[in-house]
Amino acid sequence: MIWLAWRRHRLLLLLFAGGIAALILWMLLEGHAFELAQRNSACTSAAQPGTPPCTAVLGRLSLANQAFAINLLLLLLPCLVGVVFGAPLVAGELEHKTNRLAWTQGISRTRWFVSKCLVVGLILVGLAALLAVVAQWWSSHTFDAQGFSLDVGHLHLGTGETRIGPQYFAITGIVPVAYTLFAFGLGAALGAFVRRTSWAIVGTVVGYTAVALLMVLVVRPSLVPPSFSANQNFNSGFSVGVPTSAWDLGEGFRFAPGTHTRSGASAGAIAQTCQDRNNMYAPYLRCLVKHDVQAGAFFQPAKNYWALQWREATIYVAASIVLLGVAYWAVRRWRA
Amino acid sequence: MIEFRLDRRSGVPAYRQLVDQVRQALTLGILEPGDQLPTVRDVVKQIAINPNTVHRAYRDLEAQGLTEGRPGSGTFIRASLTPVPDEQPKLQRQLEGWIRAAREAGLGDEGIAALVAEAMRATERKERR
Amino acid sequence: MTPALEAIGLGRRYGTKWGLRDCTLNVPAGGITGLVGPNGAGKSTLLRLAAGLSRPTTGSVLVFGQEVRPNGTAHLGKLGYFDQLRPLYGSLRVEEMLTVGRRLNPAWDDAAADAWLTDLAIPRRQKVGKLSLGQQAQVALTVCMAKRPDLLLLDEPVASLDPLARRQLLEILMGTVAERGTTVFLSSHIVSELEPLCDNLIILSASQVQITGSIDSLLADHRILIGPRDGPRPTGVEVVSSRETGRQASLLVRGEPEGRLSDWREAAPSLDEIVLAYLARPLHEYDERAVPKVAHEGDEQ
Repeated sequence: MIWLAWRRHRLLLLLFAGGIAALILWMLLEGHAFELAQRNSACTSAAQPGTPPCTAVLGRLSLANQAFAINLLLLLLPCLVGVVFGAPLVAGELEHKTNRLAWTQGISRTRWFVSKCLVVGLILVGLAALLAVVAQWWSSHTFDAQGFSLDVGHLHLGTGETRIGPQYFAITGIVPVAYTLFAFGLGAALGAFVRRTSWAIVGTVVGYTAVALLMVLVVRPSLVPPSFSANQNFNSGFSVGVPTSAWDLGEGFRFAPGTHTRSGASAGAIAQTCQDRNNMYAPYLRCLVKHDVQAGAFFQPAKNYWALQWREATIYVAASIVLLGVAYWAVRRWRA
Repeated sequence: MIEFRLDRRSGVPAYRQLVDQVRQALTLGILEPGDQLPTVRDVVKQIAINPNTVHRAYRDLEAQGLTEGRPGSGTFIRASLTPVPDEQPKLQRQLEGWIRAAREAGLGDEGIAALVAEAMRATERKERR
Repeated sequence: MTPALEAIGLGRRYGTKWGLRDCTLNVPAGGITGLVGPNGAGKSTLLRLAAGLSRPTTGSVLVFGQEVRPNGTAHLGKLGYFDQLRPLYGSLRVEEMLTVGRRLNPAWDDAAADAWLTDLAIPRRQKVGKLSLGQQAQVALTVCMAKRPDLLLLDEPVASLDPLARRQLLEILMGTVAERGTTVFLSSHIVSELEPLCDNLIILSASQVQITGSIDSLLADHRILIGPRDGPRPTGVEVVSSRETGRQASLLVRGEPEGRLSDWREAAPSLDEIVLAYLARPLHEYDERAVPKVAHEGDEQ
């Protein structure tokens, strides 16, 4: 069955590996170009990565734009894996009824399913791991690039400078491998249930994106308790005290450490009440102080990088195991 | 070696057709005592037919004393089937008598032919059981 | 002798519809049994249940005395299954399909598979998806048979095949039966196809078994009785179907009529007529009546 699983998926797997190899080559070249550009004095200022001395090395597209493209590709890759390899894993056979052939030879459905998962899954996980290692090196050279930035509510997404920011966090460390496994499991489970590859593809894209957004916006910020930088001078913005190597989570309020919170209203609610009652800064500040509320910004410091990586990876891997288990259960129950 | 043919639309059961074809070949001298009949495997290769049917036909022929099976070698013809001249006139006289009786009872030519066909099928069914 | 296949109260429900209902039958070992019935009667459902591709809703199915469990492998060594759709891996070459069989089956006869493909003149290096329909069916059958099973389950093996492909397929099938005494259980909705091939017949209609028995017994047990429409009917027989035209009634019955029939003429039905009569029977409300059984080829008398 190992032979059969490889034989049937080998074209796609080889093409995919080829694509990954090309991507790695591009990243190596680009990272190297960045390194050279950074030694060039005209480029060392973070405000000018798009100017001519920095673009000279790699073709017409500026290094910053290339970095953006690579970053985007790396972010999308796990979902692509789910779509190309996960969704058709079980659904493809059920659609074409080749399971009626495979399940009436001499092997059980269990062996059939496990062999397929292992052959395809292990190769994909291996490729993802290789890519993550290269991405770790690449990203360290491109921090100066103009990253995209997005403000969602109080949350500020994307800084160019640090690997703990969402832009680079998702493509470095160990989480890319966990994402790949998750997308693969999601595709396989959906495929096993809806039995149509096309619907499984749609479901995988929607599901993966929803989970990713949920993770970045809601879960990751609190996965490790965030730090807080109090800032009483509102004219310069809430995030003034946040170090540049940290992931700025946006403005927030907390009770000053050591003061006991009264039961009931949260710090944010109290701050809102103070704001509603006072138009001017000075009385507003006095109101906050009176209630022991500090204004400032939450952030995840760089030192939390690996803790966040491990915890998030664990969540995704656990989810993958559940999903693959669900897919297996659907296979066992299938009535051909 | 005899080549079998199967007429799937004749209504005659398959094993019967095989038996009849062997008997016909014997009558015509195509097969002689000592000749070997094709193996079940060979027959099945010529006409895609149930091997059990062939077994049955061969058993029938053996029961009729026309063939014998030699273990390890195959099935061989052991008797010949030239028509016995004596029987024929007697059968013909019996048949004519019956036909006269049937005509007297009011049966026309068609009725007689229909009765004959049915009787052939009825004896055939009884043989099968 | 253990029957090759035995179904006991076997049923399979899809939602609210029964694909197969209260099916009790057995397929004797060493012979060729045909399963006949209209499309949608439950033939494919029965064969899939027997192959372990489907899980029964009620009852059980046994292959050579062993219960078939969908995720088990015990029964797979003894049976070969040929699906109606003849699924194959289209992008694999013919020789690679043989590799699939070799790797997925504990027992595999490479020499036999090779000989069959040579006889059928099927190019080894051709991709399976590019073969003609007839050749695909022949490759699918080769893969089934090369594992040397004791029971072959074939779902409409020759449907929509051209006459040459059909003939070739049946030849190698019958050849293997002659050689090894393999039990064959095949389905079709065309009676004339099955009659020269089969020892026994099972008639399936409306998801239920109507009657089963050896073809000889079926022909011997049924008769057509033709007589006056108005007037006493023959007794001691089960009427399977009846047709009335003008002053005449034509009944297809099972059993030996009591007494002498002065008004009724007897005729011998063809197998086709018998099958049609059972298939045209008005559908009974599902009840617990036992399925009529007729002697099988090889049964102890």
